[in-house]
Amino acid sequence: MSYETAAAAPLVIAGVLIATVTLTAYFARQSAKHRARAAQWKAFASAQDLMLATAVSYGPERVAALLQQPLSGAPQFAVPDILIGSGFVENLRVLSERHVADLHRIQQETAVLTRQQVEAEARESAKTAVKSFATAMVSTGIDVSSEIAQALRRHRGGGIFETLTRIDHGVQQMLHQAQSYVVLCGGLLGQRWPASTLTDVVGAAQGAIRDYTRVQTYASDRAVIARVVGPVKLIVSHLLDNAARYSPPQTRVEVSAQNGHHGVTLLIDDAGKRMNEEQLERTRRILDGRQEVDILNTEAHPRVGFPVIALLARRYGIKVVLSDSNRYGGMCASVFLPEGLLTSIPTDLEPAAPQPAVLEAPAPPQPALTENGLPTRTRRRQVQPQQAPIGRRTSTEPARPAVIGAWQQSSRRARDAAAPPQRDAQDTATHTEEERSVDS
Amino acid sequence: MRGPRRDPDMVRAYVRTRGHSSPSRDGLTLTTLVRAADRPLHGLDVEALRVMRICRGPLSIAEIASLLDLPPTVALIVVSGLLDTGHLDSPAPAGQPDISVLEEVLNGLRALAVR
Repeated sequence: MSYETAAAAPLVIAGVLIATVTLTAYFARQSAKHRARAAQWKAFASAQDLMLATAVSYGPERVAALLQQPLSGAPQFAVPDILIGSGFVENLRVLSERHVADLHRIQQETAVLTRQQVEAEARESAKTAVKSFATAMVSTGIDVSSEIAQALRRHRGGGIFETLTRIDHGVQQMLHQAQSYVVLCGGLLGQRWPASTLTDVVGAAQGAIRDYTRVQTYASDRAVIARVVGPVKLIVSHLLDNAARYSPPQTRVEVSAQNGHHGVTLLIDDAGKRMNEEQLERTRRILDGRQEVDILNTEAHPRVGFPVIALLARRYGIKVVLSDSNRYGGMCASVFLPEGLLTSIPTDLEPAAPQPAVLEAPAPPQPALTENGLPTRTRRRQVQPQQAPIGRRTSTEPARPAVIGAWQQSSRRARDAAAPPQRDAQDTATHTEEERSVDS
Repeated sequence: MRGPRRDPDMVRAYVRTRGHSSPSRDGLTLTTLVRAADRPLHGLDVEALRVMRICRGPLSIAEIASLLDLPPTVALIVVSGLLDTGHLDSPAPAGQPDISVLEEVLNGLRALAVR
């Protein structure tokens, strides 16, 4: 029994030993495995740290630049082998891209805002500068114009007239340009006129353009109210200038008018080049206000014209329309002036007939007319008594009527010698009658 | 509504003369008398029409200038053009004035001097 026991003990010990060794080996292997994994994690973590550090040290610009390259190109980051294909790299890439996209967006928005702000400031200061310059020019131009007009009345002589009118033409064109820029900068014309006939307004507009001799105007007794004389003049002069500039020099620019129920329409026709579709559309956009106009987006002369026309027309309720074909195959511009802007001017401002009768004002108080309304012949007799004292200076009686009578008669005779007896004008008929009666 | 008088210089002198700077004929002075001839007026420009409108009886060019508020040279140039086209004519001076007229004028002047 003890032998059996003694024989069994080493077996048990050996078993235990084997088990122990096996377990030890197992745990040792397990432990080694864990250590390896830990080392791997450590390497992984330090690689991640390294990448993050790289990304941070690159800065947004470098990151943006790298990410703008196509993915297939050069490696964007030094990616450790251990991280290749990991989610970390993918996430980092997405993050950088978003970051850069945000940066781009913010940069663009800031640029736009800054540009708008700078432009608004530049526009404002350009406007102010141009406006004050143009206003000063207008003011000087008006003074010079008035000096020239007075000089033309004061001095006579071909040479002086020619020189003065040439200077005047230059001054008027300058004034026209300066006023246009004042209007573009939102200012007022600075020149006030009384209510004037359309004929005078068109004549004034004509004087502001280079080829004024080609303009054929028309006579109208309709007048515009004082407030819009300047604006209508400027609108018409730009349209005339445009018409004359783009038509052959031997052709005429015609101004006519249509008296309508709601107002008057001035028509300006030329026989020149027509605008192409694109130009016409652009001009119409300006004229009907679909396109904003201001001093910075106008082009060089003569493109200033339509923006000026558009601004003035809108401000004063005038309607300007361009049509691209007229009876001469050219352009036709129409300017509609509503009834509210029109008035009539008392015609007594322009005398209808000469009045030699003024001399008769201090006529003697006797009834001078017959029943028919014809002058009696008694006048001659009033003068005659004064003929008696010829050669004497004692005739003191009614001297003034005598002088006037004599003056009147001599003046009449001279006129009668000049006047044809067959004149047909109606209101001279009575004068003729009168003169004859005096002569007989 | 009436406002100030019309501005006679609103239409500039060179526009009124259509660019002419001197009368087309010599010998015209401000005292030259002109009268309307019997011709149709169509085809005349605005300024010529204004002159024709007031030229019903014989008028001196100075009177025309004054009635229309024109600078004298402008009146000379416009009238000169109308003489050229035959719308106006200028009667020849009637020669020596009648002696009785001169006597009347002299008489009148003396009477004036006495006063």
